Amino acid sequence: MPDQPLAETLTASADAFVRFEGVSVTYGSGTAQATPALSPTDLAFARGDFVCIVGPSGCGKTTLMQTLAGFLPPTGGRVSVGGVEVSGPGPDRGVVFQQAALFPWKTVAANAGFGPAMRGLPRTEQKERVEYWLRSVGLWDFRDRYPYQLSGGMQQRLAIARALANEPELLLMDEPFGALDALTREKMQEELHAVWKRRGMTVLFITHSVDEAVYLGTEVVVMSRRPGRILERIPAPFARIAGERDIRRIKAGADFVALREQVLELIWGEGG
Amino acid sequence: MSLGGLRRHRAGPRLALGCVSVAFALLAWQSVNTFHIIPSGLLASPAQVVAALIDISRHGYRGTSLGEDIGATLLRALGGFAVGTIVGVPLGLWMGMNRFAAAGANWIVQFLRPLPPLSFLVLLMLWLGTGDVAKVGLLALTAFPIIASATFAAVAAVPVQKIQAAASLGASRGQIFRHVMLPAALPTISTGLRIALAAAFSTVVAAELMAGSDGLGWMIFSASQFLRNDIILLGIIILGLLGMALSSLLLGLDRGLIHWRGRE
Ligand SMILES: Nc1ncnc2c1ncn2[C@@H]1O[C@H](COP(=O)(O)OP(=O)(O)OP(=O)(O)O)[C@@H](O)[C@H]1O
Ligand SMILES: [Mg+2]
Repeated sequence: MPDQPLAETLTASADAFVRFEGVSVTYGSGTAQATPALSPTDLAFARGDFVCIVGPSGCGKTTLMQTLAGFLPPTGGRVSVGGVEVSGPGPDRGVVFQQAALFPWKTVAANAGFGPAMRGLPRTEQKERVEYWLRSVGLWDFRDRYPYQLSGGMQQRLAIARALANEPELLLMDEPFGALDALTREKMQEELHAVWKRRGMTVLFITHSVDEAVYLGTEVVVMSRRPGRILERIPAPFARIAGERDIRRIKAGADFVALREQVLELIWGEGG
Repeated sequence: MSLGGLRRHRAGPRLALGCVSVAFALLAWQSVNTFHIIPSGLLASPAQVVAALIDISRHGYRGTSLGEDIGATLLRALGGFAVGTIVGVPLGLWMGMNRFAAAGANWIVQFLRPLPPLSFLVLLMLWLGTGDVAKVGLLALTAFPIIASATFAAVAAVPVQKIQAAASLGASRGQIFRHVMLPAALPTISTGLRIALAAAFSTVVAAELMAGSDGLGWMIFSASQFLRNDIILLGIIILGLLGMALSSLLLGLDRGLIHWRGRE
């Protein structure tokens, strides 16, 4: 895209880990109800980045993520991870959906250990991972329950633990905290940030909360209205702040507020 | 009233209400007799039916014992149901997993499903004789399209996100089938099985009415020729109770095993 110099340079650069090249999606193409959902999009980012996507409802954020997850073949262009073109879903790309999409016939522990069990990891390692991740999301005491016995926020934490127990290089999250109350939401933001710091995986994170995007992301990608294209990519410094962090202090800081307002203005400009 | 109250009923009042309504029905039956609303030659009294029960359980009915008649009817119904399940569930699963299987089999299944089974009993008797093979075959034909349709619909309705979640966790196609599709479809399959068993059970009686020398259906039909309406009523009551027992057995299995029914 000629109006996106940052995208251009990163797309061309060698250290890009995830690469969207001219990716477009039209639902029901060739039919009377053809819906262009995503304009040809170029986007690339490096290993270890935490990329947050914001944009008006229906602009194609989920669509973009689904091409990377391998659930949806793009109508045009290609998506690649580590230089390999995406051709279907795989355990290298963990997905957390907006609705938890858990398996209610399996216990909490079996949900968390689903990936390692399916991939046939040694039993001791399966157990270790389940315990480690259930403890990190505070669900270890609920390991023998069933998902429907958990609150909405706990279910979402289980979905995150399930994705992380597989230790994917790339984590795709579609509005994972959308259904949570403000307090739980900020706690989850802190937990997710801590995990990301510790494990250094690459994250693509969709959210409607600009606050969340600016706090968590190393970069905020703002999309236009449908059919979505990338309006602007804004680097965000807060995720990389070293040492002890105080989420309330950061979010109240003048530079945080200024960046948040900058992003909000872009979205307002889109009338979304 | 809370929304939960729409679903949950406490066991105590439910049991009491059930007993009251049964007592009321028995009372109504007795009054019809006592006040000769229907001539007693056409409607036996409760006492006469109990007498018939005692008589038949001691001496049998026309050469077969009551146990044999009940056993014959049950075995036929369950046999046909089992064959229908063994054919219907895998076919429905295959149709749900494979578009070509669905396209190929669905018309046939949907053609068979609304047909009254008795309409092809005559054909089956011509081919297979009037014995148990024809009857079990008929019941299998009754149960199988119901089971196959329910299973097909169940698999088609599995939320795509759950399948995607499993795939992105590294599950193979076979693992997705076994760990996601099958358990997600199980509640609807189980409902289909219950409907199919009820259908098979009501058809077995009709089949025994048309041909046979044992079974509850045969007993009722035979009694009608001798105007023994005490035995007819007895047969109907036993059939109803058996049907209830069978369906609550399946319901109990469903409730016990499929704990995730209706829950996310
Ligand atoms: N399966 C589908 N078939 C047809 N159109 C679709 C389908 N899925 C999405 N769309 C259309 O594509 C557009 C983009 O959808 P998408 O789900 O990617 O939006 P989104 O940015 O994730 O929105 P939200 O923030 O509300 O989740 C929407 O306008 C929607 O109408
Ligand atoms: Mg979305």
